[in-house]
Amino acid sequence: MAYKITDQCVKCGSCELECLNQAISEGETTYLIDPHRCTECVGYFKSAKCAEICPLGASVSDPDHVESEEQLLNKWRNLHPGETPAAT
Amino acid sequence: MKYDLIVAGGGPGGLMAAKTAAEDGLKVIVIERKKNIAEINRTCSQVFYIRKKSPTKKRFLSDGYIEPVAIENGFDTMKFVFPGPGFSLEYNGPLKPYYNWIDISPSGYWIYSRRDVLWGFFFQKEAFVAELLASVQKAGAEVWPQTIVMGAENTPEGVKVSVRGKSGEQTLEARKAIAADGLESNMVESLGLNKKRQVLNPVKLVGYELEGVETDLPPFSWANFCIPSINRFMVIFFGQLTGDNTLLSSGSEEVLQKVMKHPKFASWFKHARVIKKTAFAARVRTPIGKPVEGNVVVVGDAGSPVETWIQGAIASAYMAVKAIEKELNGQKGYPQYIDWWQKAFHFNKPDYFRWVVRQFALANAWSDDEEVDYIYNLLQEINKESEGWPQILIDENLDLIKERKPEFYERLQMAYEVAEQMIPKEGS
Repeated sequence: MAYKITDQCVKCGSCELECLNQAISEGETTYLIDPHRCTECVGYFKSAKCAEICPLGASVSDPDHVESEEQLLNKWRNLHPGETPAAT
Repeated sequence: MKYDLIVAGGGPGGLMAAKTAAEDGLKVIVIERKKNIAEINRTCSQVFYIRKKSPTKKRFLSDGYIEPVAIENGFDTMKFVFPGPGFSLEYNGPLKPYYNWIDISPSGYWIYSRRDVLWGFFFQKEAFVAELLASVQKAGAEVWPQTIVMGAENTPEGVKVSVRGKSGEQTLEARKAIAADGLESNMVESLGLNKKRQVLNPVKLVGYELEGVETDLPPFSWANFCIPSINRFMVIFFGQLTGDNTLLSSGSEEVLQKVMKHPKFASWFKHARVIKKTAFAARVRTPIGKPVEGNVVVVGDAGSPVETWIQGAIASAYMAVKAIEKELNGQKGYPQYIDWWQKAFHFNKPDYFRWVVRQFALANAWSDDEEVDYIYNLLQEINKESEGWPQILIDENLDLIKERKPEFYERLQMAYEVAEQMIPKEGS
């Protein structure tokens, strides 16, 4: 599943710098996660960094974007051609 | 080369650097991540500390900027004055003085950490940043919002800075660059300056700006709650903002809700309404010892463990630009800046991390709320006429505490011993 940011977000921006897939950007009232770029940190880390850093628990897995580990890893490979995913 | 100076980050430090350099005639560009530079959503106490020389100065500890600063109220303008670096900066937004700093136990025993003395002002960060941004633009610097600095690379002629904006990635070149991109600075990381820095636990904060709070506190007070049953590791800050607004801040929203419902304090919050929520999260690192790498100079929080305070960010930005101007004129500017950086901030002092870990040790040592009440009551008696942080009063009165509360004394000594092992080694 890709992650999404709920309306609990107050736009502190801490998540944006955590995201190595550059999936997070500033929206009008909250930060936003691009589900086409979010791999739940698969390829980099064991857990989703945006959810870990958020002081308000505003970053949660999105039931509308259910994906398997394999699908997420493929997404990561497409985003980072030629790179090797971290062993997690 | 198109620019003399690229500034990474459009916070107080970055904007001050851009203003100073552009007013001196340099060609400057500021790169800022956010859309609206003057919109502040990160929790900030918004305190401008002015009282630095105290008759009981050993009683005060801080993490930030050590040099004295002042506020000068002119006929039609106000100025923040920095006698050390030798500059002043206009500010015309709201100001409200703080005269007391009060530490409160769960049953409401108070210790005055600072009493009836003007120690600082609330000032509004949004107004401050807006004024600074206007002067940056007036001085002719370019400002690119919604653009992230990805990293920097020194070259023989200057520095290459890669940035990513709405229209994609590009590389900018300049003779010099300033890293003012905050605690998670990409510029600092890309130059390898984080390699020697030890990473400590992250800090998280949530802040409520509240309307309609009615307290028993004397006017113009800042307060910290110590309520172990609610929260141990992040003191609950409580400041009075401009007008009728109050800041309540701690590690999570749950803690704030519990404080507002606490039997002793619920009446304060009976008519309170949250008008703005803020948040903050960052890793804590040991400081950068030498804030210069080739043609890049680090200012403000980008080189600090957690905060330089706004006044420290501004002062370091000013000093960095003056150093850069010297270097551009073929003189030595960096050694003086590095020397100033090491002296101007408490976090560069050898005792700083000992103080930090002992604070956590004390927070961890309380057995329960009743113990805080007992000790605060005891300290209140001792501290009737004077002032001092609870931690310092405790350390000064260990014999009495040993006699009255031996079990707390033993626990604290053990916690302090453990804390000694947790003091990080010096940074880079």
